[in-house]
Amino acid sequence: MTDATIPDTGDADRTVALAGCPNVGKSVLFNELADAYVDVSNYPGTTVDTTVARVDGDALVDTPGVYGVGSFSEEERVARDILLEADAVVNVVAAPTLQRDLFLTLQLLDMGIPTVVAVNVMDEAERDGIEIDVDALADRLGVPVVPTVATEGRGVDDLRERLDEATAPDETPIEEFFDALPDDVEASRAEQVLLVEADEPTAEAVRERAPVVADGGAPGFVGEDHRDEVYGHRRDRVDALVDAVVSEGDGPPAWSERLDDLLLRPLTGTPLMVALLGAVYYLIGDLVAQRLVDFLEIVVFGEYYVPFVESTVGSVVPAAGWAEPLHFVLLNENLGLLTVTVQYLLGVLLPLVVSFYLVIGALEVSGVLPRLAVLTDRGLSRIGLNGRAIIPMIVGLGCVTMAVITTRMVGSRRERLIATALLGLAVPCSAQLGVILGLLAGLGLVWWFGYVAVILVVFGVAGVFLDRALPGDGEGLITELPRLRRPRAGNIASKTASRTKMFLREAGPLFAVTALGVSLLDYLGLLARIEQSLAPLTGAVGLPTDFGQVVVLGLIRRDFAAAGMTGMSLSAAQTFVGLVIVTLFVPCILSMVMIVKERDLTSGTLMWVGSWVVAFGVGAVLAVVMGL
Amino acid sequence: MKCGTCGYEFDPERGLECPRCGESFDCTGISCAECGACSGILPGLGGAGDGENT
Repeated sequence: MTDATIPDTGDADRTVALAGCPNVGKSVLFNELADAYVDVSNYPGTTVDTTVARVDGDALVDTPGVYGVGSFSEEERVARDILLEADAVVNVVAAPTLQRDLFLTLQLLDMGIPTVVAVNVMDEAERDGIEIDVDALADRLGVPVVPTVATEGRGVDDLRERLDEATAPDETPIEEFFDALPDDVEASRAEQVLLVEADEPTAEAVRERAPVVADGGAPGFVGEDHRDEVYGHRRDRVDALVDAVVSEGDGPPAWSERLDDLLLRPLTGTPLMVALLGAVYYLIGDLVAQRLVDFLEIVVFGEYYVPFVESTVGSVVPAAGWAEPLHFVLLNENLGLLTVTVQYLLGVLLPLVVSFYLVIGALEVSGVLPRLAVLTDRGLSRIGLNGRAIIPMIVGLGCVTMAVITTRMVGSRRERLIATALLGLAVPCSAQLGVILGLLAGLGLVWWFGYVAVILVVFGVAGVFLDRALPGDGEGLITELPRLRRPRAGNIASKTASRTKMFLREAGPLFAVTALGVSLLDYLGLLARIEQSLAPLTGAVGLPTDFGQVVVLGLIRRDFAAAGMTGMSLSAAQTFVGLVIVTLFVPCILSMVMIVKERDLTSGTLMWVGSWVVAFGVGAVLAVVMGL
Repeated sequence: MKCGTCGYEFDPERGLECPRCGESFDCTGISCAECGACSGILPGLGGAGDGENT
C-alpha cells in the first residue's frame, strides 16, 4: 500500500506479526519467542525497523510499536502494511496499561485478523495490586489470551504453543459503521474497517482497484468526523471490557511513584541527577579507571604482556634489514600493532567501555535515563526540538550511529536535521565517555562537572543556532515515559554483553587497521608531517604537536582519540581541553556513513566540517580562559 | 488537540479523553492554546487564548 519494506519471510508456513503499543515488552517477547536475544531498549518507540525470526516453521515479524492501525506516522504505515499481509498476529498488551492497549486489540479483531493476545508485564500488575481475569478477557474477546512476563520467560512456551489457535470473531460491533460505505465497495473486512476510520491510503488503494465506487469524487469514503465516532465507539467498548475483567487492589507500592515525582520535579530532580553523575564518576573514574585500568596497564601489559611480545616477536622479526618495517609496525612504542594497540584496546578501552555499558544499561532498564532527559525537555524545546528528540539523544549516549537511525521518529525533517547535527557534534558515545571519565578521574570531580557543563553549553548554543538558522518551526511534544523499575541484573548483563560483542566486533578490526595505518605513516615520516601541518591548530588550543596523532585517530573513532590521549603527558588543563575537543570532533566513520544515508551528502559534509570548526573553536576559547 | 501519548489529533469538545489511547487530560496539565475545548463557550477562561491557565 505504501513503499514500506515488507520483510522477506522466505519459505515460512505462515507470517505471524508481533504487534503492540510502545513499551509493552514487545521486543523482549520477540527475542524470547525466537530464542535469540537482540538489544532491547526501555524507551518508547525504539523499534523503527522490522525484524524477522523463525518460530516453529512460521516467520515472526516484529512491527514498530503503535497505538492503533492507521497512517498517522511512518511507524504506523509500516505496521499497517505488515498487519494487513500477516496470516496471524500476536498482539502484546501490557497488564498495567490494559485500558490503553486494548484499543489496538479490538481494532485487530474488528479487522478480522486472526489474533492471539499476550498480556505481558503481569508481574508489575500483580505488584500494583491489579488483578486481570484472563479467562473472562479471552471469553469476551473470543480469542486466546496468554499471560506472560517476557523478561523472565514466563508464559512464553504457552504462547508459542497457542500460536496455531489464532482467530478472530466472525462479527464485531464495528459492522454497524459499514453502512456509511457504498454498497458496491470492493474491500476486505480489514480494509472496510480502515475505510470507516478515514484511512486515506486504504481509500486510495480501494479506489485504484474500482475507481467508480465513491460518491462525488470525495478524497475519502467518510469524513474525519466519522473516524472520531468509530474511535469513540471502540474506546467505549474497551472501557466496558476493562471494567469487566480488571479489578484493582490496594494500589501500587509508593516507592516508584514517590521517586518518579522527585526525579521529574526540577527542584528535587536536578540535585538527584547531579548526585547520580557524581556516583557514575566515582564508579567508573575511581574504581575502574584508577584501579582496574592502572593494574592492567602497569602490571599486566607493562610488566608481562608487552615485554613478552617484544622478546618473542623481536627474536623472529629482527629490527634490521628487510624485516625492519615489519618490526616497526608490530612493536613500535607509539602504536605498535601487537603491543600498544592491544594494550589500548584490551587494557584501556574494553574495561572502561564495558563498565560504562553497565551503568548506561542500568539507567536505561530502570527508566532513570529518560527522566534525566525529561528534566532537560524545556531546554530541548528552546533549541527547536520536541520531546521525541530525547530518545535519540539517550540512544546517542550508547552509540551515535544507532541514534542517527532513531532520529526517524523525531517529527519533521527540520527537527531530524537538528537532532542529527547535535548528535554528531555534542553527544559523546558511551565508549568515548568511558575513556573520558577514566582520564578525568586523575584530575578530580570538579573537572568532570566542568566537562559536562562545557558540552551542555555547546549543545545548547549549537541547538539555538540551528533552530534560528533553519527555516520552519518546531512541533509539539509527544513523549511517554516508561515506568520506573528495579533494574534486573540479567537484563543489564544481556544488554552489556550484546553491546560489548558489537563493540569488539566493530572497534577491534577498525582499531587494528587504524593502528597499522598510523604506524606506516609514522615509519614513512608522514605522521610527523601531518602533525606539523596540524601544529597551528593544536598550538591554537594550547596542546603539543603530537596531539595531531590524536586528531588522526579521532577521524576514525572518537574513543580511539580519547584512548590515544592516555599515553601523552599533559597538564590537567591540557587534558581537559583535549577531551572537550575530542568530544566535539567529527563523528566516527560509521556515524558519518549513517548520517549521509539518513540525511544527505551535503548535510553530512557540513556537519563534518562544522565539527572541526566547533571543536577547535571551543578548544581555543578554553585555552585562552585557562591560560594555555 | 493532539494527544500527548499517542499523537492522535482529536476534538476536545467531545471530551478530554483521547479516543484512541484513552489518555485523560484536564486543565491543570494542558494549556488553553493546546486545547481550546471551552473557547467557544467561555472565551475569557483561557486568558484571551494566551495559553496560560487561570
